[in-house]
Amino acid sequence: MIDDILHIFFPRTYTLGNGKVVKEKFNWAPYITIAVIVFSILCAIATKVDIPRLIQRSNAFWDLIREMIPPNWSFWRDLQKPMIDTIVMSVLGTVVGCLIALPTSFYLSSNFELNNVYLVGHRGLLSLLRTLPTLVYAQLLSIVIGTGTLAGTVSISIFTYTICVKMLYEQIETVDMGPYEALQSTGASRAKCMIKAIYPQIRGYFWATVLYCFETNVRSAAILGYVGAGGIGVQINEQLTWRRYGNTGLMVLVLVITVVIIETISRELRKKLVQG
Amino acid sequence: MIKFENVDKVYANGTRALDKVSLEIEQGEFVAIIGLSGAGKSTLIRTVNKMIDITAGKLTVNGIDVSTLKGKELRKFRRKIGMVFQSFNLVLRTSVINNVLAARVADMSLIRTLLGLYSKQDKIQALEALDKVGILEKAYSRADQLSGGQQQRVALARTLAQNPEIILADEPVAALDPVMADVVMEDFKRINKDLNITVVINIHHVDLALQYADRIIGINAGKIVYDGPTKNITNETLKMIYGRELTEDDLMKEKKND
Amino acid sequence: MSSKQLTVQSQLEKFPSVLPKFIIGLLSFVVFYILATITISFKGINERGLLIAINAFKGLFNPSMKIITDLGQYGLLQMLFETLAIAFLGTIIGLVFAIPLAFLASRNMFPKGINNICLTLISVIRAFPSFMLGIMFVKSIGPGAFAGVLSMAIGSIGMLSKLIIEVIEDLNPGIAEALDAAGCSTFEKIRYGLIPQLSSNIISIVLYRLDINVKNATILGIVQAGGIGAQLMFAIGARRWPDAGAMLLGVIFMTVVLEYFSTKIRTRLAGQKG
Repeated sequence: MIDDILHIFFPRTYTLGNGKVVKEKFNWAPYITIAVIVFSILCAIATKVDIPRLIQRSNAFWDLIREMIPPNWSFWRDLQKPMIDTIVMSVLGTVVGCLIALPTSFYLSSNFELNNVYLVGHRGLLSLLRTLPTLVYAQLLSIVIGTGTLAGTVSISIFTYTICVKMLYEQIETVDMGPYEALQSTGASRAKCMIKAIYPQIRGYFWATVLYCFETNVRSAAILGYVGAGGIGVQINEQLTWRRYGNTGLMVLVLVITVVIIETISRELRKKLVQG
Repeated sequence: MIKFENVDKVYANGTRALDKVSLEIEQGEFVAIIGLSGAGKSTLIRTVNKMIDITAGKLTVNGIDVSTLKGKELRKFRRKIGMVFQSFNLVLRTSVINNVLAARVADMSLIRTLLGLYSKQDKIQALEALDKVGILEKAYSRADQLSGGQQQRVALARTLAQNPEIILADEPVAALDPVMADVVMEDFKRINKDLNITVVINIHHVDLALQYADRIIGINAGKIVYDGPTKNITNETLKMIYGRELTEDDLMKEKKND
Repeated sequence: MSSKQLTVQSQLEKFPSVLPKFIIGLLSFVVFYILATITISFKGINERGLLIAINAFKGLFNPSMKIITDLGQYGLLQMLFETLAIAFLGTIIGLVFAIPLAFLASRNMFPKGINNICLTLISVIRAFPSFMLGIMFVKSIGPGAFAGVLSMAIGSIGMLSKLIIEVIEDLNPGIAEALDAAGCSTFEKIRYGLIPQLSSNIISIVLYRLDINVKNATILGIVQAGGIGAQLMFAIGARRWPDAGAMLLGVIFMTVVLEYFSTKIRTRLAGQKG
């Protein structure tokens, strides 16, 4: 028994009949498992995980859900405008971010032998900016340019730009450079070669990326109102403060339905775009 | 006229691809460059339009010193020189006509290029180029629906659409089957005769070179070892160029009999 | 032959017009313009805003050393660790629920009826806004990191199980058959047939989700569900720029380091398979 347990952690050495010594491959798996368990326990302590309280208070959670059902349908009148705002913010933010990202991504791809210092610098800056969620930009901007949908739209644009550029230059680095060389040999400038030889190869992928960003942005735009950057988030904050759970229920329902519809359509379109 | 005077090309890793190359090619000639792979054929052809820069010597094309060209002047110079590649180098995800029209963008403004606004003259020129290589009916097909031979003819049409004085071809038939190779070589020959365009072609297959070219340049380890009319080629000269007896790989027609 | 009648002129007439594209472009521009004017109120950046921006920049590049060196509850290190802990624990708990759910939803494991029930459940979870979950847990069990862990766990189930389903449905059935033929028990089949095939893929998926969760954990703070987010937002809101700067740098540093290792491990795992 003890031997079996030891066997899990220490690879055995066997001596075969012909005198050859065979050593088992060292297995990391048990060590990783133990490390994960220990770290999880540390995390549980840090986050004050309290199972008895969860069980004791779980009724309150279900009560909350029960109070949201049925949703207060009459609230739809007040909800329309912020919901449309949320979607428009996402659309505009996505379009602006992606349209700026498209030309930039060409100049950040390593296959055109451009200035390396600029490339590494710009890419590095973007990978730092990419770590911040849209919400942080929204909070910063709502202070600098004032609360409202503009702050929301701009912060969505910035976030979209940072992720779209990366997805695009990684794609551009996989394209066939043959047509580019061919166009260079006709005496076309670098920008023209990119437009005519590279862009057609990533066109489908680009629009798929736009749709993907839009999906992500609709999800994250809903919360921006929390920091005053416009959209449905303002309402969520308000209705919860006043404990109007029926209204909250309607908002959740509308959000879920919107996300599902947009995701379904976008997924189908993306499949077609990437194939075509 | 293309004129090489003691041209050297040494790559950054020390490989000497061209070694004191001197030669002259007159307007309207059909020249085949033969030799083993790695002998410097590709380098030789690519120095003509400065896709590769030379390291020593002097290279002039129609009196222009190629090594001094930069930026806008280089691009203007390249417009008169067409290039055809082994792997066709077409944009497969777009139509044939768009591929041919791409050769016209060098003369267009950036905004017209971006919006794809080609002039009527450009469109006619592109369609005529397709007509010259006999695939006018494929103009609106997507490039990836065409066979290899057809794709190489689109690439040839793209080159014609830029009204070149010289066409450089880097192993244009190596990726094709023998029948298509003949068709494409015929196209080159016709274009050379009808339009008086200089054709310089890199070709691995000796039999095709002998069949179509007027003049053969044999190159071995970056040095020119033979330069003369096709009819003077003997088995001895071939052995000198290749440094060994010819094998089946060096002939395309042998494969056809398989 | 019909192709003989084909001339340059007749082909020229077939050249697709740019007009439809032009109209679509113009229309979408008009639509975007109208949308923008209806929704977006541009009050203009006044001088005050500009001043704030300059101060913000100054502060962000002069992070407060007090927060960085403070080891207490509101020190940077503890807040970052709490954020990481929410993300990590949330991912692990999410995984514990996602694995059985993914098996139930895989076509090659269970009948279609069970598949569909589970798939519906997964897509509902996926569509549910994660910050709403955060709010609901904060309302029911009280504010704090525990609420964050719970909402992160549930929020992760959707994507984790969706990706795991793909892995399970790609399983090579031949290995299980071979073990069957060798007379292995169900346990042995799972241990030697299933786990070796699944584990590296699942680790990749978990690391990928962990990356996302660390970013999401910053958002959760805004709804009082723990982590550095709340303090960060307070600092920005109160224009305590040096504090905000320190926290932003902390978040960026942690995410970049984590992303670096996670990408490295994932590429190695992918390399092993190929």
